Amino acid sequence: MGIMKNALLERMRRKDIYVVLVIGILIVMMCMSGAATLSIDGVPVTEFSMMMPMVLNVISVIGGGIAIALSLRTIPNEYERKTSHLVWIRGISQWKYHGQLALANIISSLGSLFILYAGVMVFAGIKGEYAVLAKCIPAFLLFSVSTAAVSLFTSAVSLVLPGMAAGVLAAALMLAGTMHPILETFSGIVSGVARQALRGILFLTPNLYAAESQAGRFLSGKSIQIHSILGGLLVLYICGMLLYLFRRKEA
Amino acid sequence: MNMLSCSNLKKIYQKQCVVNDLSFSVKRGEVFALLGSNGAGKTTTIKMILDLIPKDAGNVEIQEGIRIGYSPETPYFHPFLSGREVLEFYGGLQKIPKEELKRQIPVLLERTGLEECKTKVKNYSKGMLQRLALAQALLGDPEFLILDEPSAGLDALGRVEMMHTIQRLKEEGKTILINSHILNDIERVCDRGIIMKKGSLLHEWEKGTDRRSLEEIFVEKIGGAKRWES
Amino acid sequence: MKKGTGKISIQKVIAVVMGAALLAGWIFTADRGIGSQEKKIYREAAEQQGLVDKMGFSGFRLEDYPVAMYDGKADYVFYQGKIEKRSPVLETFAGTAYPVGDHYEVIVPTLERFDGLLSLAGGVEGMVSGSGYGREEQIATIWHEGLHAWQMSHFQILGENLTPAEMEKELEQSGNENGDSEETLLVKELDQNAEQKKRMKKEMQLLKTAAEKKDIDGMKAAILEYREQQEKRQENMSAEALMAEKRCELTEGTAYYVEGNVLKALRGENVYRERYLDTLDVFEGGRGKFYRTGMAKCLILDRLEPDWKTGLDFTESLDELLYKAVESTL
Repeated sequence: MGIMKNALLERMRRKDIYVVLVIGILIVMMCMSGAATLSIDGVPVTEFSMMMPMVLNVISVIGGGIAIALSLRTIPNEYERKTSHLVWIRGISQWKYHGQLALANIISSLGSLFILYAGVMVFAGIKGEYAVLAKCIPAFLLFSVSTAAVSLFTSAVSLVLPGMAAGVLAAALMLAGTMHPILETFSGIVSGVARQALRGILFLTPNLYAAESQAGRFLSGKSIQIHSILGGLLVLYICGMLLYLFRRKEA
Repeated sequence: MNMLSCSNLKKIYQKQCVVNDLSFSVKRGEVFALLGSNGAGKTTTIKMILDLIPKDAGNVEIQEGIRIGYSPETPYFHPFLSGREVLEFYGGLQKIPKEELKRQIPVLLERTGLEECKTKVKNYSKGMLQRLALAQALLGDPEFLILDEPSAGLDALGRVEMMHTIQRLKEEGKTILINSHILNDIERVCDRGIIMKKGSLLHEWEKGTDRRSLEEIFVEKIGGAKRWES
Repeated sequence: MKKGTGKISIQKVIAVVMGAALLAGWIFTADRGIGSQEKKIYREAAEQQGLVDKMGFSGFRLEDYPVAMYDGKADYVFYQGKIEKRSPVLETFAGTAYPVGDHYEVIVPTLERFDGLLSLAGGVEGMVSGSGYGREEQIATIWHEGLHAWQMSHFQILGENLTPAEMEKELEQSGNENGDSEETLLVKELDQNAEQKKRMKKEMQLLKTAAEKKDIDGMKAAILEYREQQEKRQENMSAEALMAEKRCELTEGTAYYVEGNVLKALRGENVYRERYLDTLDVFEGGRGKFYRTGMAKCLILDRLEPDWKTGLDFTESLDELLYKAVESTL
C-alpha cells in the first residue's frame, strides 16, 4: 500500500485541496443557516427532517465535484512526470499501481465528503435530533457509495482520455447520475428527439441519486431500498473493472 | 555468460523507425556502453529492455532471477518527498524489509554523495537528483545496473566521483549498461559498447582492440565533426 | 513489468464471482410491477368514497373508472380489484382523465414522478427542497381527475358531448387545428389585456369576499356586486372565450372543489384553508384562475342551495346556477 500512502501524503502536503474544502463547507453552512432560506408552498423550511434531504442533496453534488477535482490528475501526473518509470521497473502491475492511486483518490474524496457531511451531524446535534446523530455514521457509509463511484470513474477515464475530456465526462456522469429522477421527469415532459436523447442519457448513466438517497431515508427512519444500494455497489464494481481494463501502453 | 541479449529490436514512432534491427549482448560482470549522438535511439533501446515501452519487433532476454537497478536519464521523483523518503518509498515497493532498508539508506546516500537532510526533492539541484537516481537504483543491491546518462547535470568533480562509483561497482562484480555522451568517461570505465546512429548499430567497440581513441572512432563513424586547427 | 502467466488467478475468480453476485442481487431485488406505495395510495383513495358521497354528486363513484399510474415506463391500471400492466397510453407526466378505447380513465404519474414534476416546476428551489406533494395530495388529484372522467362519461358539458373515441380523435388532431386552444384564447383576451386583467382580479376578490361571508344576505349582496363587475368584463370578450371560461369553470371548478375537500379530510382544516380558501383570489394565467372562481362558486352554492349537486347535469354554467340561487332566495 506504499503507493496509496504516498498519494495520500502528496494530497495532504498540497494546499489547494484545503481551499476547495473551505468553499464547500461555506456552501453547506449557508444552506443550513437562514442565509439561504428555502420554502415549500410558501412555508419556510426550518425543520430538521425537511432540511436534511436538501442539505444532503447539496453535499452530494459538492462532494462529487471535489471527488472529480481530487481524482482527475493523480494518475496522469504520475505518467507526465515519469515517476511511473521507477514503479513499473520494480515489477508492480498496472492494476496494482493504478488501483492504489485510485484508492488514494477515493479515500481523500470520502474524507472531504465526511467533512462536509459533518455539518449535518452538527446540525442534528443543535436541533436535538440525537436519534439521528446516532445513525449518522452508518448513514454516511450509504451516502458515500456514489461519491466513491464518481472518484473511481474519474480515475479510470483519466487513464485513457486527455484531462479536459476526462473531467467533462466525469462531471456529466456525476450530474446526470445525481439528477437522475429530474431527468426522468423531464423525459416525460418533452417529446421527439429530446425525449430520445434524454432516455439515452438515462440508459447510459447510473442512478447515483437512488444510492445516496438511502442515507436520507435511513436517517429519517424510513425503510431503505436494498436494490438501490446494490445498484450503487454495482456501479462501483463496474468502475473498478474499467480501471482494471484501461491500460497504458507506455510508462 | 550473457546477462542481457537483445536481438533485432525495432521501434517505430509516428511512422519513423527510431530503433532498427538492433542486436547486442551484455556479458556478466562487464560495463557496456551505448553510444551515439542525440536521437540515435539509445534511451528508447533502454526503455524497450526495461519494458517501459512496447517493442515493435525483436526480443530481449535478461538472465532469470536477477535484480535490476535503473537510473533514468531525467530523474523524476515525487517533489514533496525528501531524499530519504524517496528511498524508503522505492525500497518499500521492492519489499525490502524495514530493518534492512534502515541500514541501506544511509550507506547509499553517503555512497552517492548525498547528505542526509530533510530538503524536499523539489528543491534538489540537477546533480543531486542524478545522485538520488543512482541511490535508488542501488536499492536492494541489484546485480545488473542500467544507467541512462548518469553524469548528466553533474559538475566536473561530480563526474569524476560518479565514474569512480561506477568503477567500484564494477569491481564488486556488478554488470552495468551505461548510456553516456562523455566519451572520455566511457573509455575509462567501459569494457565494450556499440555506436548507434539513427536507430541502427554502426560499430561495435571493445576496449584494447583498436589503437585509435574512442573519440576518433566515434567521430569517424558518426561523421560531421570539424577538427579544430590551430 | 510483470507479465501474465496465462493462469486464472484466485483473485480474478473472486472478482468475477463478486460482480456476478452483485448483478444477481440487483436484478433480484428490482421492483416487479407497481410499488407498494402506489397500491396504498389507490386503496386510500377508494376509501374516500364515503366522504365524496356526502358531497352530493350522485352517481359519482371512483371505482367505475380505471385509474392508471404511469411510472415513466409503463401504466399500472387499477380496476375492479386488479392491477394490470400495459404500455403507456399517454407517455407524459400529467394528471388527467383520458379517453381509452370506449371509456375514460384517470391517468396520473406515480407519486415519485409527480413530485419530481412539481419540483421542476418550482425551479432551483423546488428541485432542492422538493414540491411538498405527498401521498394525500396524490389521492386528492386522483379524485379530481375521477370527477372529470365522470363528467365526460355521463354528461353533455354545456351542450357538448363527445364519446371517448371522438375525444381521442380530437386530442390527436388538436395540434393540427388552425383555431386557438381554450388556454390561448383566455390568455389573449384576459391575461394580455391590462384592463380586462384588472377587472378579472377585482372580480376574484369580490368572489372570495362573497364566499367568506358568514351571513346569507351579505353573501347575496356581494354576489350581485360581483355580477355587475363580471358583466362589464364579459361584454368585451368573444363568444368563444366566454364559452371557454364557462366550460373551464364548470368542469375544473367542481373538480377542484372535490380535490380540496378530499385533501381537507386527509390533511386537516389548516392545510385546506392555506392552499384552497386563502388562494381563491390568486390570479393564475390562462385556465388556472377559473379553477379558483369555480370552486368559490361551488362553496357559495353550498350555502345558498345545499342540494345543488344532486341534480347537477352540467348543462348550465356555474354562473347560471349561482344567479338562479341568488334570485330564488331574494
